[in-house]
Amino acid sequence: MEPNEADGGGTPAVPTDRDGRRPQWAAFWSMLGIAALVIAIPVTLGAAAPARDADAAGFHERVNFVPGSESETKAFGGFVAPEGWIWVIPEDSSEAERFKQLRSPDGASGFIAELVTDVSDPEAELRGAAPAGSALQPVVSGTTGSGFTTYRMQDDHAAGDAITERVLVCSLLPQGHVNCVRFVITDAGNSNWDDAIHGLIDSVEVL
Amino acid sequence: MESNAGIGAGPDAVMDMPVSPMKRKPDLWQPRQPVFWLLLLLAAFGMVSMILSLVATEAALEVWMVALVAFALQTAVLLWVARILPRVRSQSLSLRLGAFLLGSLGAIGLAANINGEYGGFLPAYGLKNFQAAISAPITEDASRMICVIAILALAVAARGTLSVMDGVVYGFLVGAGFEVFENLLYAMRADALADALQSAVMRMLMGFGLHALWTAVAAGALAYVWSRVLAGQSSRWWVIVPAYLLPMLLHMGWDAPGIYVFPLFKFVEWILLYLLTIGAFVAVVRWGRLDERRRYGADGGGSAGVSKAAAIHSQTP
Repeated sequence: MEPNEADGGGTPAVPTDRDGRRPQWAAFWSMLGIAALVIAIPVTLGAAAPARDADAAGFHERVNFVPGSESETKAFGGFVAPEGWIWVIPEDSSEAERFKQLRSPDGASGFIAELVTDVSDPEAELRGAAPAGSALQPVVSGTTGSGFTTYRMQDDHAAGDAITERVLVCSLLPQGHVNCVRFVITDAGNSNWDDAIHGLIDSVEVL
Repeated sequence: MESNAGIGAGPDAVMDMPVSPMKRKPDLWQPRQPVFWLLLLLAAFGMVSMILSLVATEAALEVWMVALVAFALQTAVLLWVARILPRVRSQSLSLRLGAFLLGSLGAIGLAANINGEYGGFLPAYGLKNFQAAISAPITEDASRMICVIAILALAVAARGTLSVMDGVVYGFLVGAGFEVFENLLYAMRADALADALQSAVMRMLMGFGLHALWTAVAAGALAYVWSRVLAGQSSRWWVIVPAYLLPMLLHMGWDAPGIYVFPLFKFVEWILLYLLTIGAFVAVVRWGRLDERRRYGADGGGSAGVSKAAAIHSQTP
């Protein structure tokens, strides 16, 4: 390589354009313009920002479970929180890691989610966590859009006014046992939030 | 304009530099250029900002040591890469150093101060998970381009000409300075020695040189357009659009939260984004080498293209 540095040695720097020596005002104003734009963007967007609950879930807010160190099973699980739903933060930080709780913006519906590992019988797991009176309720199984198996069971102790739906979304593991994300959805009969709940269950990933 | 020689001249310069009756000043030193003062202002602002950031970390001595060793190692690697990019004609030493320092002080100082603003309002738009993916490509890429414009303007003022490779090298160095200082700050924020080591190693293994590679792509295109304007040709300004947007989008993808919950998928995403970045960088370097051969000939002596004009100028006293 032929060095060609005016101050670093080599072939002399030969101007090919006499205008090069003039003050580079276009560059100067470009620099200032870009700087002004970069500063103006957040200032403008900040001033125009809509009012929104600080605890509201955002767009495509992915929620991941962090398996405890004591857990022998390596598991990953998560879901996309329904946008605009409000986070309910437990005071106990260890609870906050284990349980993820959100409620609908109108406060009518809500859910608690939890990662359940090493499940041998999802249906038994679902019934085991349900109130004793609902033990005979049917468990409906299905599949999410991503191919995970779902197990659903509803119980209602207030004649249709307070349907609670319990859902397990489980991974397909070869060794027989499965890892699941469990949802306990309150006021599941509220049709206002059907789409949100459907999207929630469909977004689950677990392994 | 000041004459150029002397300061910063390396061993090559001793052999190859033409004998000049006047002592030449570095290409970086151009007080008649308004851009020069803006550059100084930006560097001074960045320096104060960086010193405050470093002091605020209250890092222990061993963390300082790890961070500085990693800083030196990364700097050496990136400066070496910048050195081997041109094949025909190397860029001004003082402007190369200036680009690196401006990237490490000015660009990162400006970006760091603006990036934080996004955290204040993005949650209101429901985008709190995307803060880094939105703010970083906008502010960091623009901050680096401001520095690239300053360095290219001084290169034009010093030499009257510009090549694609000038843009690639100076852009790479601006990004390199940005990257090593960002990595230094990350390592300094570690609470303990092990964390600092982990940060230093991870930042070198995962996406090393990304800021330098991205900036080189955009700066190469900018230099191309600028060189055409200097040569009195149509600017083809639109070339800048994809060359600026592609690194921005890659940066956005890099900082975006993973599409899936499984960490393995994010690693796959990072590998793909890195490969795309390397591909874009290799393409712009090849473009730069073709351009410099066309301009200066294979031996740098100047046998074609712009060097025709250079030959005319070389005859003028």
